[in-house]
Amino acid sequence: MKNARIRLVAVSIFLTALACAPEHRGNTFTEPPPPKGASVLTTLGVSVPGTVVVGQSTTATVTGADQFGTTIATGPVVWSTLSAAVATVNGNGVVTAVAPGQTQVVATANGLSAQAAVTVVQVPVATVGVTPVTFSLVVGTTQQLTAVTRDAASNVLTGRIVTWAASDQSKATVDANGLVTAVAAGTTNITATSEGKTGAAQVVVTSSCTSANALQLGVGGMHTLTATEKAFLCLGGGASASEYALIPFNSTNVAASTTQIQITGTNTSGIQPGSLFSIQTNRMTGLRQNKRPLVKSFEWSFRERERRDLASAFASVRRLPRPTSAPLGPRFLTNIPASPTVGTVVQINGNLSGNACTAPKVLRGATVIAVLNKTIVLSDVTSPAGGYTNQEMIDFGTAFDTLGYGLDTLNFGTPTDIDANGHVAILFTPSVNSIPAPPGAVVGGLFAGRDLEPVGVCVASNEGEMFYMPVPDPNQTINGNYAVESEVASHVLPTLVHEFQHLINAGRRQFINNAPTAEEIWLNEGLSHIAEELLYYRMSGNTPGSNIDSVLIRSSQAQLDAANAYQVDNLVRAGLYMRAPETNSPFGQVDLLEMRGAIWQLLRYSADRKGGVETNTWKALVNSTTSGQANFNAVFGNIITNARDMAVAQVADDAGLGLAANFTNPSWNFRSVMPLLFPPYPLLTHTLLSAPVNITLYGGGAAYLRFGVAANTPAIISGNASGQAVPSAIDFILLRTQ
Amino acid sequence: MLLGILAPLMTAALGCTHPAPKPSVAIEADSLTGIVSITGTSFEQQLVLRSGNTATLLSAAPSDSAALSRLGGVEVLIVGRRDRNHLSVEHFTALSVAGVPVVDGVVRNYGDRIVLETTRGPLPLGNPPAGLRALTGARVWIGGPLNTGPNTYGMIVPAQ
Repeated sequence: MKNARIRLVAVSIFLTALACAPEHRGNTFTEPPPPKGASVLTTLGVSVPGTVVVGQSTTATVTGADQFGTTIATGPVVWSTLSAAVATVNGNGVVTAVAPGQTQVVATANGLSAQAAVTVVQVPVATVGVTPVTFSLVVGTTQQLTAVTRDAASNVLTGRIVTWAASDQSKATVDANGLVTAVAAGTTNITATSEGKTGAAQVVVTSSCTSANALQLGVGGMHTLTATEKAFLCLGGGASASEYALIPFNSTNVAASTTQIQITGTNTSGIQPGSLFSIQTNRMTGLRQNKRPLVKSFEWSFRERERRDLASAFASVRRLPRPTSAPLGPRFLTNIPASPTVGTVVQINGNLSGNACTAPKVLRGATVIAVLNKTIVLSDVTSPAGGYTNQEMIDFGTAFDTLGYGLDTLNFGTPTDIDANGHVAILFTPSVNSIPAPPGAVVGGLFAGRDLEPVGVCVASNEGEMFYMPVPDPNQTINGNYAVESEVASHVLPTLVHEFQHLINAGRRQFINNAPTAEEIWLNEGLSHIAEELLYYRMSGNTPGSNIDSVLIRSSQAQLDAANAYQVDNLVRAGLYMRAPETNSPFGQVDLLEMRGAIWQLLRYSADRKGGVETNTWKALVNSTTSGQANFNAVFGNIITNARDMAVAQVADDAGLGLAANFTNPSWNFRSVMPLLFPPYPLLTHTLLSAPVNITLYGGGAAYLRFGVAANTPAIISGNASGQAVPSAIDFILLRTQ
Repeated sequence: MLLGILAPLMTAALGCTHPAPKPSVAIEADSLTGIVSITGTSFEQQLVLRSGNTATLLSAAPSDSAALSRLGGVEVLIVGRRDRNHLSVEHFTALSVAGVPVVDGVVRNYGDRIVLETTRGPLPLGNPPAGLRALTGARVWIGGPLNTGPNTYGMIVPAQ
């Protein structure tokens, strides 16, 4: 019995020894089967995805089986790799690829071990970008290309092997480092390949840039560059030196569309002193910029508040029954009697802060100062002391009644008369003074569209045709912006004709012409600035189309006074636009003074270009059922064509270049007038030399690059956009100026 | 508003007995595609969405109004609630500019790569113009091939 026990123990020891001597079977290790009946871990297996990209992780899994082949839990597992330089593994079996190579992931559990191979590969190249993408070379010259390899997430991949090739080596060759050498005239593609991915560039090889094959323009000659020429233009180099203006113009009809381009000159030079734009006029006392800028673009947050309710109100009013025949009858109750008595006080909502349409009424007593032929003059009883006298207000009203009213109705049409009183009311009120404005700026006055709406849909409406005008505040009880009466007074008549255009425009579109919406702001404001210009013509005795210059403006005190009183603001706004023509547009949607200057210039230019009876032109714009560019296009033709040609006129008009009428400003000699306000000339220009000129162009925007070309040495002009071809929407217009 | 709630319920009920119910008309009407324009005067402005011969007045929160006013001339998809004759804007997406499709998203700068975060995921910008790189954090629209450029772009919401 004892021997039997000893034998059993010996067998057990033997079996145990066998169990502790695992047998290697590939990536699994199997122990000898334990005694029947007990399930013991005998097999361990490891599984790992065979290939992992550097920087990425994967999870290894381990499985165990007993002597019966049944899967069982392995118990605690210890993980390791044979080369941590290639891949690491943490306690949870998460394998992280470190560097390209191969290694083994090892799992140990319950005395058993197993391992699996892991191959780490580098991040694959997904794209190859080549810059510049398009370029031109003269035979014998070179261009270094750059290839950037990126992964699928656009991360730059460094250290990748890139192979360069030229599709037609008879035109250009490329070396192993991407240096392209032009061989012969023609076009070929250069490719850069890495890990099977290819990027490409195109090179246009020209035979050479010599005087013989260069573009030659006479003085005043103009040329619109082709797509190829925008990338490479060989220019000039004739027997005499020449000077040029290159005008990139963004012909996209969306002002906010921004495109960036880069232009480089080779063998170009600066312009000579005394040439175009460098003319110094004899400066003397002349036009003056108003000390306080007239602000008709209100504080941004204020406008945001307006937008919500006015939209709602307009929609509601559009559903009201419209008159089917003239004359218009009264539609609403009104706060202004049809025949008010001078000296009586009427109640007017003077709340111009907050939301114009739905803000609660703040009724203010308004004394009837005068009842004129077409105008009622009202004075807010809360006006600060020391302001306008009654006679001064009557004089303002009379000037509008006898001049402004007729001027605007002649050019824009008869206003509505929703209150059936046959009058337009002018309320002089400190409510305007209280409108937020930048320090030192003034609001010249305003027309509120709410007043054309019934109170049923626009509770703040005064239900009648009226304007709001600021009052002098010499004691600065509200703010310091309106302290000087003469400054405040100087804006009254121009502002009234400006606002009257808005009133006529809004009323006629809404109630007479059944336009689906109000006019777009840029065109609406442009028309009101035209109204100011028309007032200037009336007051000065000058006429459109007479190429008004500084000599005429300074020919008499009366001429100078008229320009200072009625036109200088238009000229200042135009000057501001000329200072930044690249990032402003005549049809800009953001209401800026620069946009105002641009659209005034464009409307004037386009009216001159169109010709015919000018009053018909303005009436056509105001009495349209379309709006914005559609309205403009119907009256003047394509707005892009007009804006592009006007952009040329900015540099070419009155420069003695003898260009066609489309490139002139018949009414104004800006080259002569602008130096009085912005000496020597406000137009923003760049000098194009060898250093690249980077330009940001808005839709409708234009840039001006000036350069000279020496005699017998042609220059090369090349443009690109982010290293690629200049988009077709960007026109390059070249003008020889000397 | 009431129609907007009831119509989907009615559609669901009809779906029990009729196959393939059509989408709710009310829901379709609350999504409009058109070109934004800003009308009125400087003092009083209205946002309008033009689609063919139809003009729909928009009302929006001030922040959205400011963003939409930067999209004048841009084709957008607006989702909102129709209230009588105007659409109350809830959110919007720029679709195209001058007939060219654009992508609407927020510019993100991750080291050497610029990404446009869109509602459909991040889109890497392979060769953005320098001006766009400077708009990190801003919501913009971008036209042109995103991988290679050149790209046109426009501001929608400046970086906060």
